[in-house]
Amino acid sequence: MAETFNISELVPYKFRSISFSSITDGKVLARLTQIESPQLNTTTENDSVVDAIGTEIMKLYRSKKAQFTAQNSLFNLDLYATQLGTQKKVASSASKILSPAEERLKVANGKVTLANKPAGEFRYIYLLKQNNIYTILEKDTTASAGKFAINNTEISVETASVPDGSILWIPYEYESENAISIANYSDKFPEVVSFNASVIFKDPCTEKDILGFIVAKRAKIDPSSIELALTKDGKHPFTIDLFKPYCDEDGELYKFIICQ
Amino acid sequence: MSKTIKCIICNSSYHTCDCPKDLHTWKVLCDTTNHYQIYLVLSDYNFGNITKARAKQMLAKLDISNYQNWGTNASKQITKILDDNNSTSNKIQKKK
Repeated sequence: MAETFNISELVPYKFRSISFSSITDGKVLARLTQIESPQLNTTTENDSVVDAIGTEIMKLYRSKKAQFTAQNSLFNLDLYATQLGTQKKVASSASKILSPAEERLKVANGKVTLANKPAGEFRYIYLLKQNNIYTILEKDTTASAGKFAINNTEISVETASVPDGSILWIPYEYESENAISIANYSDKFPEVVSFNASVIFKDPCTEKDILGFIVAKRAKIDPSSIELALTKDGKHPFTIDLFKPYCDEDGELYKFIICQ
Repeated sequence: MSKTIKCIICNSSYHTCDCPKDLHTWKVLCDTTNHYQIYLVLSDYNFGNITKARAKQMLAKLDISNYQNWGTNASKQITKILDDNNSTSNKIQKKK
């Protein structure tokens, strides 16, 4: 008869992944693989029962709450979209994303050519001198002093006021089919998700890998404070509240499953 | 955000807003759709995309009343297109 797998002490080694899935269709909304500082906290409120002279004789517990906090080593766009309660939009040839662009171009023969065709209209371009804005040029039907004209991606300027070799800074927008956008809407908040963390433990004796899972059927990313340090060593922190499913008679907040 | 800018065709001040940018992109340049159409005609003519005769024909369908008083490049260009004796030429201008 095979030996029963029954282990009590484990060494948490690392998080393999954390995923949040939609509770409506089960689709994974975000998957994180670079988890740092994971922390699972459970709190409970209590009411003290005291005797006639105020000595505590009992504590009655209620309102158990669970919360998981961690940070992803990298800025994760799917996590960010989930935190904002929105969806990541991925552009395609059929559904382009209006993207900002800015170009610094050197004037040659009174012309510069943009890398992309501007979407819609834009009114101003800027002549730079020593990297500072020196003159503002305004769009017109023809190029003249202080004015520029544009035909598709080709911009013409008047060579007397903007001689060849001048640097133009041109901010504009174009429709990109290779872009991703995430918008933070003031009236959208995170949806309820299911939470699944895959954790690798080590057997303290053999150092063998043992796979564990933390599973919560109902959870919600906490949007009350999302602080992102947008630096190369900045992390992407998140907090997720774990709830019991409303209809669940057992009132399960979360569970650990350890597999050999 | 609301802002006051001048029409590049007639030089009149007008109010515009960034909010409906996708729908009213012409408002970035002009105060009316008519003036934006004039801009497109003059711009196409300037870059040699249409002939002088075609530009004249297209301008005739647009409201260019009082263009002499606009005091803009557009006004000068319209004068040139309408007054030019060779305006019936079908030759496409060479791109500069």
